[in-house]
Amino acid sequence: MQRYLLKRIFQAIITIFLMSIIIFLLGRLSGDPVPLLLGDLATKEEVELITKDLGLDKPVPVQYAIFLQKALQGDLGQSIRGARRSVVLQIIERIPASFQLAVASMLLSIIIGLPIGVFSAVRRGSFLDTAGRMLAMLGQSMPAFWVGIVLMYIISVQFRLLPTSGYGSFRQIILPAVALSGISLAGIVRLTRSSMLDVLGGEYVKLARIKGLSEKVVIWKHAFSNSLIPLLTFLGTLLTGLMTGVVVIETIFAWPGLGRLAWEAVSTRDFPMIQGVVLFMTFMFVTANLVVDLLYAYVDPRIRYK
Amino acid sequence: MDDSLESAIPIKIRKTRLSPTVIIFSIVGLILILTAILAPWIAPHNPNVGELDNRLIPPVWQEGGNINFLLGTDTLGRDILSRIIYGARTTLSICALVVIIAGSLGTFLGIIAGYVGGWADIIIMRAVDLVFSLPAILLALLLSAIFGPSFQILVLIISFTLWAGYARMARAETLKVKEFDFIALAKIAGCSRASIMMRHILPNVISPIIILATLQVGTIVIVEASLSFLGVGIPPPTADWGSMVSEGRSFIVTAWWLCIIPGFAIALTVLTFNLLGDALNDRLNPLIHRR
Repeated sequence: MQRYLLKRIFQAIITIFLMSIIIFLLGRLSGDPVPLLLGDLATKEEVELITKDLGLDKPVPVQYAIFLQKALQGDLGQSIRGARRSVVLQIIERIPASFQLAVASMLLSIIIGLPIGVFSAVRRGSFLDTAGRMLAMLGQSMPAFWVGIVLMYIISVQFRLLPTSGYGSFRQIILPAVALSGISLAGIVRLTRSSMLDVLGGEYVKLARIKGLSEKVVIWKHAFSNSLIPLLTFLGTLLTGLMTGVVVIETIFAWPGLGRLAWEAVSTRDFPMIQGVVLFMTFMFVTANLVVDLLYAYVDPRIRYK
Repeated sequence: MDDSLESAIPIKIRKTRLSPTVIIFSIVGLILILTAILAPWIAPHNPNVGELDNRLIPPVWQEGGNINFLLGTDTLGRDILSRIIYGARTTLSICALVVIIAGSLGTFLGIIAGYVGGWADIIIMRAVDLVFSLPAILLALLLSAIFGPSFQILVLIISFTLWAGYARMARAETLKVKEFDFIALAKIAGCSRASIMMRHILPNVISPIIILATLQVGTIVIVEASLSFLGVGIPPPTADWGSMVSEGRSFIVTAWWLCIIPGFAIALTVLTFNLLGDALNDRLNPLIHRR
């Protein structure tokens, strides 16, 4: 286990390191930031001063080393738009909102998705199974941004049940969370169903039934707990979908999270900000994947020894 | 996905009758593809030019509808039906390009990793892991901020994030095929490594790759539409479903069709290819039926 742990952590670090190089190089490709900072009226001396100040007169590898050193100290530069505030501070401000939204939508899709999946598998071929699977298929086919807009139109505009957008109260998180959970819900239903079907055909489930255990115990204690293992690996894939969803849904519902910050930065071409957000989100994403992998290895010993 | 797509050797095509759903969606799929190919001949209007006099006409079945504009017009007076038809062309050509680029690159690298092994395997699989840990959306935001949104960059970004799936699958399949006697015999007969990979391994790993490609069309459509919706995908005025939804968003109360119709087109396309992918998977993959 220890060896596996070290190997995975090392891989994660390499990934983040490579991503930081890519982000840095792309940043240099985006052109000279000095005119952007100073505007058209700057004198030659000012330009030289700022160029030196930002370290842009040094060779690229040195610039990267400085970038990395600063990033490790939690300094990702300043936004070049608005009040030119620190990128890191702006990112930190946006974390709680994104976190709340992600957790709410995950919980929602697990609470709804798991029972549907289990039920579909147990009553295979029943009306509910077919309906559940069709729902999953539909959920997977509709783009999150569209679901968000349609929900907003029906629930907020037509029936005036919930606010259309904004952040702060419980009522405001419902719509974005529902729209975002659509992505993961379909996947959870499908995966729970197929993994339950796998498990239910297993020898030990047969044995449990022969022993005369009640169907409830067989399904929930023996089968269900084992069917959860493949679901863990799915969490990694889920995160990618969630990431795309977060950017889109936050943009639609004016939710002040990281996704919206990224989108705002792109639309104002605020490069340091984009760089910072992308680096931070990659970091979060890689860390989350690492945790999922380690959990998986912890639950299923076969992985560790591969 | 890996475990459901076990080795397809020998390919057993189940001789069952096609279900009505599959037949219906095959026809829908065919219509979608034909629409994309024949767009210039079947679209009633120019998708990118409209007359302001005709703006915001509702679909024909609503009050105030006009028979010349079956699905209504947008804020610039452009015909929605024509834009949907050309949108199919945009979306499906991106899908085709991505599947060709990502599919051939991924399969090629996967077979090399699986057959040659050693350092090639380690390097290729590390790259695969790296790609799997980069969310496409972030890369797209970054690149479009630098180069501005464009068709080519969009295709490259999506291909870049999807080739790894093919590589993983091709490698796994190659590892299985490698153990068969006909590979050993080919080696004894003096075939070169390249010819074994191309002529003996490739044909045997191709069917799960085709299933994956079909299933991925849905993903590509959604990613492409999401990026265009955010304004980092297909730049205007090109007709694109994602950007149509985005343009129609602020008019949802007064002109629902601007945003609902293209969204419906996206959902229908994704649903069609997902269903066909599943059906193909069921037919080409005997293992699943043991469940």
